Amino acid sequence: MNCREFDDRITPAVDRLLHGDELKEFDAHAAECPGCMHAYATEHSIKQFVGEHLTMVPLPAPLLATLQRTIRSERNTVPALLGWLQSFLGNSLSLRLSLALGALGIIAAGFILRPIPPGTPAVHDVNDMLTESQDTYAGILNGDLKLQIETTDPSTLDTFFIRKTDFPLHIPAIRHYHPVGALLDDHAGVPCAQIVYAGEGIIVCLHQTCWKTVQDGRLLSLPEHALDVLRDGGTYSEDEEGGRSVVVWTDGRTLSIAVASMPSHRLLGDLASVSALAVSPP
Amino acid sequence: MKGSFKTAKQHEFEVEALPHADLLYNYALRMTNNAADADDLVQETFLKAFRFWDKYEKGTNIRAWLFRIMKNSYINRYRRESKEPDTVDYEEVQNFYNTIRDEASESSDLQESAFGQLLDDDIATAIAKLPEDFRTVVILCDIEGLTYEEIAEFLAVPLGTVRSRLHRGRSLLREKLLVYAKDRGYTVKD
Repeated sequence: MNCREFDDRITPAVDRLLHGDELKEFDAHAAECPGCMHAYATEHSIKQFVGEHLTMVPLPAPLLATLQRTIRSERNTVPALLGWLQSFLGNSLSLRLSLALGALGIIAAGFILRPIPPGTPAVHDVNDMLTESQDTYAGILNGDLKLQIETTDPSTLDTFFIRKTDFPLHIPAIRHYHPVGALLDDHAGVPCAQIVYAGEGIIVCLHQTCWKTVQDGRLLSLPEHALDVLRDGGTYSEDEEGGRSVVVWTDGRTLSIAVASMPSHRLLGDLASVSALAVSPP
Repeated sequence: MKGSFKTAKQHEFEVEALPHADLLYNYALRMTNNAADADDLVQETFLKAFRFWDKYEKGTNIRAWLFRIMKNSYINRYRRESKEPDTVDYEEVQNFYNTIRDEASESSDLQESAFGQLLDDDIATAIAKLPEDFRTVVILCDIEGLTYEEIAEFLAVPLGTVRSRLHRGRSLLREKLLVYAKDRGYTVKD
């Protein structure tokens, strides 16, 4: 065995994977070549040193509990929308992208399914917007709620919402995500815009409604502690079961609630750099 | 929480996938060198794995499948944070390795004495600073005790690649540890 052949076998020798004649030849060469012996001893000591100092850390019990809770709170089926978006986002080939965008354009042209008739509020219970926004998010993920428009173009979304809301709609740029579509919903007869963003396989849903109506509290509401934060001009956030979180803020007459399957600190981080792509006046 | 019952899918996932959370947590912990980031990475991995459980081919290596999901999540996180994953200058590492043979300036005893000055945190940090290709194999082999075959399957690379990355990863780790030993005031010859 020469030095080059010895060198090729140092790592398996350190991991005790040499046997028989190969091991004998390895040992014989090490005995007569101090340089090779030193190289072997060096790698051996590194492996030993790492193994002695960095042992396996048990999985923290709270993390295991969180994993179990997350799994049990997940829906049973892969949401059709999520699956589609993830496969869409996961393929960066420009041809596929162009085809997909083209298909979206065709779909968008005839896809306005549920325009809300103006001025027809009915009598409803007071809707808690945190609960409503989470239910809507779940409905979008599991396919119960369909996007009424599918587009990545903010100006097309902007056009879609014109004259459908009684508050200015904000379509912000959110770091790592881009709009993929929207729908117009209502809670207690109050228009509520849902703008859906996607990126890195995660869906972020941005709900917007009239801040004044929420403050009034007769049709829409928020928990008092959240209202306090918002009235002070702050941003309210909370982590929900199942690994989801909500972030709430106001901008003029508009209340925005972002919901996503990620811890609130991450969602806050991604929202920290929002800037308006488009603002649609009522 | 939406009820306390488990569906068949949830039960199957908990029985087959969750027992490997230890392995993934340790990998995440050593890759990020940060417990909170490791928690996030593990949660993200298992959430994705559960959502795409239907895509998992039963009977294949579930650890490798979970590992690939985690590795992709880790890489995505790098992109999100606008960090470039470390690039590896293999030639530079090889040159460094060759000097070990020639220098013979430190006996193993002297080296062990120098390393004895180090704290566990120093070692964890040194590993976390290895280029990603090397870091992964050192973690999987020297901390998690996986076989070359399993690491090759995890990374979808030939066995020879695992061996050479391990060899170079350990050499580079030694270099970093000696630097830390010097920082702690231990005199070692270059």
